[in-house]
Amino acid sequence: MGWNDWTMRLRALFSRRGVERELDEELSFHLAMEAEKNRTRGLGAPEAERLARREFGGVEQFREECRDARGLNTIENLARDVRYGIRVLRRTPVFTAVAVASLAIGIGANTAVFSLVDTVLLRNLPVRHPEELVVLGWSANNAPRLNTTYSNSGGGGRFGRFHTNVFSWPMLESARRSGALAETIGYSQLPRLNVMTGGESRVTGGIAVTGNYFSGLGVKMALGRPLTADDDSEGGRTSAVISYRLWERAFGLDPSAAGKTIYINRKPYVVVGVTAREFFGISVTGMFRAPEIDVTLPIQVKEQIDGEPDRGNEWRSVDLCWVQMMGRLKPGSGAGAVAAQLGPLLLANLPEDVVRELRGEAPRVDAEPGSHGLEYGRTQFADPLKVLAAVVGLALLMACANLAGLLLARAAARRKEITIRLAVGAGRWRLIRQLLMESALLSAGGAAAGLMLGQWGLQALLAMLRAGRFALPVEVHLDLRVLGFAVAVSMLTTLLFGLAPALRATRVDLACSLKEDAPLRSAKGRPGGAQVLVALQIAVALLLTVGATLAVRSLTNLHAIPLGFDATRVVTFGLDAGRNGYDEARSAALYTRLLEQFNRTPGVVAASGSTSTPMSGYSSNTGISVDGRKRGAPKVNGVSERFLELLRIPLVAGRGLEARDMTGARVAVVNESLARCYFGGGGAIGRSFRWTREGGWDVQVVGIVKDAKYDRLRDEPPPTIYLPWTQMPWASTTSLDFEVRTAGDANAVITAIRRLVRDADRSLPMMDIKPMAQLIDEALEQERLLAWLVGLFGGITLVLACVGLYGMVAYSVTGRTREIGLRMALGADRAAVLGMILRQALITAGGGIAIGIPAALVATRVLQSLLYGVKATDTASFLVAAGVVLAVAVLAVAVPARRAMATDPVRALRYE
Amino acid sequence: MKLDLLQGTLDLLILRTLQTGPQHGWAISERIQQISRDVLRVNQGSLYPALHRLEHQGWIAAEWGTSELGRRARFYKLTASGRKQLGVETASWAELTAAIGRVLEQA
Repeated sequence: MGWNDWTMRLRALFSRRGVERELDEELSFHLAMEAEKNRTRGLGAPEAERLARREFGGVEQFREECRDARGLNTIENLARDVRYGIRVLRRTPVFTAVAVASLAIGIGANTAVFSLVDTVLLRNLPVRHPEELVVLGWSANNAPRLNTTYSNSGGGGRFGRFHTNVFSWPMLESARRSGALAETIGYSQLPRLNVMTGGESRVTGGIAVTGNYFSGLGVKMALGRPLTADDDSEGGRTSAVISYRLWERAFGLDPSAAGKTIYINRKPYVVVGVTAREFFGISVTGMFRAPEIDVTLPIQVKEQIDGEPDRGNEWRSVDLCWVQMMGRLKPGSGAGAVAAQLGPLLLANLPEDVVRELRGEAPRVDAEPGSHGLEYGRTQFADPLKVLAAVVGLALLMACANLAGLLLARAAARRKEITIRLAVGAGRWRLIRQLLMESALLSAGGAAAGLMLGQWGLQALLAMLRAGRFALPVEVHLDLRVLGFAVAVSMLTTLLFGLAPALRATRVDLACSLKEDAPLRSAKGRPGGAQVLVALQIAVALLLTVGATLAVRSLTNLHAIPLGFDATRVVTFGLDAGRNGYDEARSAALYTRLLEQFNRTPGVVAASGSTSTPMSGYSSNTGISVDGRKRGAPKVNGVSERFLELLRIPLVAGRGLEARDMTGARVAVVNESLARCYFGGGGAIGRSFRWTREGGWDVQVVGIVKDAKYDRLRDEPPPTIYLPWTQMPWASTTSLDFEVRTAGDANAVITAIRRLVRDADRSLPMMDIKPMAQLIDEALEQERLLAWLVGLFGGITLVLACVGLYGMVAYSVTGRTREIGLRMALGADRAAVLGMILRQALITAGGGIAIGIPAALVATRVLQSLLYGVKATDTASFLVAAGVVLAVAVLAVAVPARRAMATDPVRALRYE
Repeated sequence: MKLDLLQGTLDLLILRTLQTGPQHGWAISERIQQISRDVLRVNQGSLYPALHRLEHQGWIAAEWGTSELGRRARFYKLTASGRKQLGVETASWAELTAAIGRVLEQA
């Protein structure tokens, strides 16, 4: 159709009256001319006009043909269908609202969740040929006592194979020289950087990288240039590349940002470039303690950034594993070949004592596919996201079943209307078109509401995920493919179930159908399509209710885990004077003075400091040796003298830490697990151990306390050493966490403490001020989120299933009014009628539960890894869920059942 | 005796009629009657849907003007693409009649 055609159609549509008038005028002109001609032939006026009309033929018919020719009818009918469709839908507001809501939930939830799944789990890094990338790590059967930092290591011995993601610097260099990979890229995260831009300072994360990081990965730049090998040479300029996000926040996307100087931990760096907007670093969930990678620096500056310059030589030695590696495969080369080639190099670059501990075993280099980047938090999100994806998938199924049920019931109710319309001569195609229009209107409404819900749901999901411990720095957008898919599925459902019964209805033998409508015929109790659909909905609702019950029980169990310490009325926060240029001595003096002041503050029961407050998610281990033998790496917490007393961790033997220990001889308090594992339980008091890394002195055990949770709620309390924070073996204590137990109003105490900190140093911010209870909640974020979301969807599907059940029963009660009346007239009492109605509902609900339970038994298995203290097949949870579903189902049936009981036999029999 | 118009030939006749210049509907019908010497029976009413269809296809354009008797009338004229269409249809008509002629002579 050409332009001409469309302008005509539009004109026809919008100035319909004008077009009609013109047509009238044109035709009447013709008739006038014809009559005029006839008159000139000598006919009388009436005869002339009559003849003209006869010559012309049926004016109305040609007028209609003209309308058709102009495309007027198509559009007008369409508009009429739309208007009629809207009117019909408005006449049944409950049906329309439920149908649109079902669609919106199905479409919205799926779009939101699958957009997130795509971004977090499926999408490749926005770099050149991501499929060629590999992430390197190494593993061995026995865990060697390895000196690592910023690593993700684990396993070994009875915990399975030991694996780690960090290498020593010499290993990186030999891997590079070997040419096993087309590019060998090294990097290490830089946590909690203090970045100053134009007088404004913010704490963020960064990454230190080798010079080939950007060119090797093929990262696009939004501005300026990437870091190069020149930047990463000894004595190279101190250059930095910043993220698009930092460019936006700190420079307002000002192009002159390239060349500007920024201060990172008080040292100047020149911004040389900004990475492309879609690049969020090589890990979608950020890196450990550095969730948002806003600054990329040459790896040469690693030691000066980390504030541990005295360890400078260690960075370059084989003794410390800290650098992580990625590589790009050579064309034709495979991950296996690379791993085999690098294995011997790794062995050659491990310290002698580590090689000895491997007992002749050659450690294996693992080259994992790196197209998605690093795994870090991805693995944390993977399970909950998969469950969520399954849940919303069920919700879509549910929405479609609900819709189908509603449409079937509606079609049945409209059978007579359709028959009558056909009988009075409506075109079959015209009827179908109109029913299609209703379906399309429903779908469109659902899609629009779903889009809004999806957008909102995605934002809500992201907000919830970000509130937890793992960041999700990437931008997540609604995925249009998913939206399209969800809309298509629900539209298909609408069409299928809206149209199929309609088609069948239009094919009916009119006379027969009109007669057949005697309500007594429909009283046969054979399960119809609607009943099956409602049962299916109840099954899905049950499935999700079981899931929600399990999740809530698991969460309750987690909350009931004894912590081993008392977190009530304890507020925590952190101070990091090192970032403001304090060295160890100055920060120690500052913290000692502040602790004294905190303890004197009114409203404070006790105040203490620790290198990592319990349940903050941070912890450190250090290797110790007892009697000259290496014994493993227990957790170490450097604490002030009142820490154990403040958290009410009970003393079992010996004494606690005292003020004099802070500056006195090297002593420690250990927990029962440590005493048992390292000193054989008997008499740890008075014995001593050494740090394996800096073995110059003995540390004497002076007390034993009960076990308490340290960093993870789900793990058994690990062997733990509490020692004076001033005596930490090597870790920097320029930053310290604080715990304050308050007597009354915590806010007043925080205000007072804030004032004390400000008085000590105006530019020292208090970080992460939180009640300790909140830390525990945050540790359970993942579980809570899951319980909440599964519960939410469980509730929604339950409501939808009940609406479906209600609709089914209400419809059947209406259809059986005459039957009910007859039964009552024949002496059935109300209880019998109620029983009849309830029986039908309960058979449906029971059927749903019968399908739902085995389905749930299979489906909840995916939940098992996320559950704590409750089996996925927990009978009690299943019973509770089934009970809830049944109770709600009975509630849904109550309304139509009451109506059935109130049936007046006389009126019912007169009905129709 | 009058002949019924062959399906589709009305369009050709309208286009041919308009080749001489703009005309209103009644004049077109008159002209077709005259030229065919009253042999062809054109149902006057059916002219209008055909005119609207041709306008729709862009082969003719319509404009309101004043008729010979001073009444407002809708005048149709051939467009450039209509002229081209007339050429195509005339040619295929000639081919068709020639072919039918041959069949009739030789059969």
